[in-house]
Amino acid sequence: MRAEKPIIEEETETPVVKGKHQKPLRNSKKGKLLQGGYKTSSWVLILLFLTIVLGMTLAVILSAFGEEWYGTIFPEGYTVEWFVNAWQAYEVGEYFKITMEIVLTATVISLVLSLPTVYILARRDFPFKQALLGFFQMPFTLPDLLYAIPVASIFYSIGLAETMTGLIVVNLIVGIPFSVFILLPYVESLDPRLEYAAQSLGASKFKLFQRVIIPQIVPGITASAINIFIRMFNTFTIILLISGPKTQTLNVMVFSVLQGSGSQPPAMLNSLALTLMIPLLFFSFLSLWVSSFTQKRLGK
Amino acid sequence: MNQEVFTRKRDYLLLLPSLLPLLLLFVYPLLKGFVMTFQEPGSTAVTLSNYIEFFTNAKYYDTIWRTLYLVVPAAILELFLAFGITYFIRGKMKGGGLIAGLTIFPLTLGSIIIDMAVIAFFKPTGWFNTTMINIGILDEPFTLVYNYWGAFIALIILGVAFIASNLVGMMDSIDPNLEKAARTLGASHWVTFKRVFWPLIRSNVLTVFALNLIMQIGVYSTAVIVGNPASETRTFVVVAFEEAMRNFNYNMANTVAIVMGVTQLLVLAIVFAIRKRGFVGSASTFK
Amino acid sequence: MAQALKSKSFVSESTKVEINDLTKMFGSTTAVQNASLTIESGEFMTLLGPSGCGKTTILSMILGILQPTSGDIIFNGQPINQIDMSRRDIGMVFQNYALFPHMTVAQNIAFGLDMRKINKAEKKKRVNEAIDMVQLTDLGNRFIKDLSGGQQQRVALARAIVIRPRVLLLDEPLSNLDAKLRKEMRTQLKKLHNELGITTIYVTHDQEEALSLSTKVTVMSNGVIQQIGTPKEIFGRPRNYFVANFIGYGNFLEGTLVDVQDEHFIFETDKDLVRLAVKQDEKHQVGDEVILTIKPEMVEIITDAKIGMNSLQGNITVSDYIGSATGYEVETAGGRTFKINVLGLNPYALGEEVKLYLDPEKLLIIDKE
Repeated sequence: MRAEKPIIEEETETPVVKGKHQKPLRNSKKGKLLQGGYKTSSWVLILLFLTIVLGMTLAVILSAFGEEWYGTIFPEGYTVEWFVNAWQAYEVGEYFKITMEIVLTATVISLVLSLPTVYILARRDFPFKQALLGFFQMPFTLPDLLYAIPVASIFYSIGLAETMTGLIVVNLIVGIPFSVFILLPYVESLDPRLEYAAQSLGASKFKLFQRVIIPQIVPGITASAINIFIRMFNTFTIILLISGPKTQTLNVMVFSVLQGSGSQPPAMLNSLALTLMIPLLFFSFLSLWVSSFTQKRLGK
Repeated sequence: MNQEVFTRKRDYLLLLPSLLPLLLLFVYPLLKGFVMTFQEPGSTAVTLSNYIEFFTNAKYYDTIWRTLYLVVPAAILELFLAFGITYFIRGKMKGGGLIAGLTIFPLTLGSIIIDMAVIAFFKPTGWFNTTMINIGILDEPFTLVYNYWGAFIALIILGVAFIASNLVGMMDSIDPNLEKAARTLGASHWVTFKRVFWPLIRSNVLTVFALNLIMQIGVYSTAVIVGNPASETRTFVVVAFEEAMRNFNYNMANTVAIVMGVTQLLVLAIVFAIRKRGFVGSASTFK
Repeated sequence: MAQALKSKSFVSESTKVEINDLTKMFGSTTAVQNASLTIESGEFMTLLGPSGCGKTTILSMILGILQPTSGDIIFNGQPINQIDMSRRDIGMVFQNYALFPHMTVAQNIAFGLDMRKINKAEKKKRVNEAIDMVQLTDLGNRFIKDLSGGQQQRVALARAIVIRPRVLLLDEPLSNLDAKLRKEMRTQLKKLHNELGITTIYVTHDQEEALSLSTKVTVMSNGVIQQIGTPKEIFGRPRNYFVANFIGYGNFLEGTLVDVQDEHFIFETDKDLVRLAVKQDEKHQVGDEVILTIKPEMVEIITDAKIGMNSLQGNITVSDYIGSATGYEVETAGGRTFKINVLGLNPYALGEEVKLYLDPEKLLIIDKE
């Protein structure tokens, strides 16, 4: 609070120095106290939350490798037996192979089908472009249940359900639009003058793609492919609906086991969860590594 | 000139490889699914019986409030936690990156693993309960898994990760000089937050909140693995799957899905009605 | 006069700012090293230096964004290191203005008054006065994004002075404006300072701004204060090589003062023993190792045969016509290059042999760093 000051009567050009009468500056005690309280409580809250997150992750891992763990702080011993048992009992290797086949195939198909579209979206302006972009966004903003159930009923009626083809094809529903959005920034950042140059040198559309566009976006495609791959590795709802006993992805298999799991020892189930966690972590780190690598290469 | 137009038109054929599969696998099923909700299994006659069944049978209509009772409080708490954490570490705070990374980390693991992790940590003999008993806060283990709380905790962990992953970038896009300016003009930390930071980030925060809420309304594996899908965590998707996979009644399953979609739209409408009453725009200054 | 009287209502009681032995370390790098300076009440002090010289760090410490590693900042005898930045009563104009995008011009300006819980009528009066003062009358209800860069700059200024700050800080406020607007704003800023008499600290890397605005200039480099003085002192008698070079002295000769003759030092370069006479000053004596410098526009090109002390022969190697003057580079026989500015359009041709005259009265003796 500062009192209103009367207009200074003096007519001097130089500023009036009245420093001596100035009130000393003072901190607000209440403000200091509040700020201190806010900081302390934030730290407590954050550390608590992170302890839980880390504790949870650690608990799964320890439990999967623990011999006996009941009410003590740490397991009494460590073993890979549960892990091996889970791996054998549920044919994890087999399901892992199936998952990789499905996801890899679907990733490649998604990329191939979406690239031409991405090119048009990045280079051409046309009336319904915004609407089209909106449309491509729908499959991953709408709840997947809305299309998953009718797709399942259709697939069962035409015999695509419980087949590898069926599982690959349903992955495209999210795969194609997802790869459109993930590739778009890479293609948009390409310099169109390179294409004009190529065309002026007589390159056909096909040659243009093959020789000019594709080589430039290889780093982008690699990074995108890993992200699409992770996304599909996690596809759940629709796979659960159309999977058969022998054509399941890893996460659906794990889920099915967990769902009816009254009899299994928890260590076994945690080992199973771990088999799902390891590839996910691996691919996430790979994605981070590739994107930092490509950014370096592009000089960003 | 003619040729130019011709090649341009032909260019649009390049849209087909992506559009065709989507029309077949997404648009057609979506429409068919909608029509199916007005039909009985095995019949093509139009009827409202599915919806009538849904809204008169407690087995179905209970899912609406059971889902919301689980998800809405969780989403609000998630927003507070995620906002609190990301706000605290915004700017160039030391260790901020690590905190953000650990907070967002569960998102990479996905829901099934987080569900298992919640069980491993919060089960009666898990670290949480043993610690609480050892400290003396609890006398006997508190049941936090295979019920409402189990699902609630799992939702919180994933929801905080999702919201935080979005908020980190949004907070960075607000020019830190704006806060400094407010502070030099005499505003306390709280007033700076209330009058400068919050109005600028508000609309984005609400959008993320809405997205997260919509996502969590579709909760399934969490409700089944750590929850109690028979009663407390009998959400929309649990019922829809029951209809589709146990009763093979795709028509009813779709009806549940449609009701869920409408619920999500309503939630979205409410959040956006709130969002509209404030500054919507960019808070980054040039340079 | 009415204008001057009216604006007096903005004047806070004036403040003397002292900076004592201020040091700021970031980890192991020193951003500011033992800086001491006094800014008298009502003075316009410019911190001048290239980017990364520590001027913004000093500003941030005065503002309270950064805590000094050691040393004190004192307002009118009161150390303020421990005072929270919201309580320091400082008016700050940020380089990017940092105007609140969700508020109107008037709301932006009123923000500081709101924080001081000024009553409504008084607030309105002061906001309107401030808006008039920076010539934004009628724009009070506009949002920031609807203003031009120059207008935004003036809002930032109004927002800073309306709170009657003890000190006004400006961080390169003109750097985002185009050249013409920059000049205009400079004049305005100067007028404003004359009217208000607020102690002002201005940070810039632009020597022209520093010269035109300030009552005092502090030149900094690598976190160390190089020289403090009036613009005239800084530009007329730079103390060392860095200051001279930074403010536009072009020609440097390293050497030793070897003798004195009729109130002139005799200077000899180390390498090629060029001997020059230079006016004697009190600071130096025979035997000092020094640098001689002269501004490009002070070097004369002579045609008559006045050969002797302080004249050098050379060939024109570069000629660069820049409108009001022509810049030349002349290479002497000894392989030295001199920069010379001559008024007018290209009086000499490329390759032409010319004689340079370095006037002993215009040559400056400066210290090696």
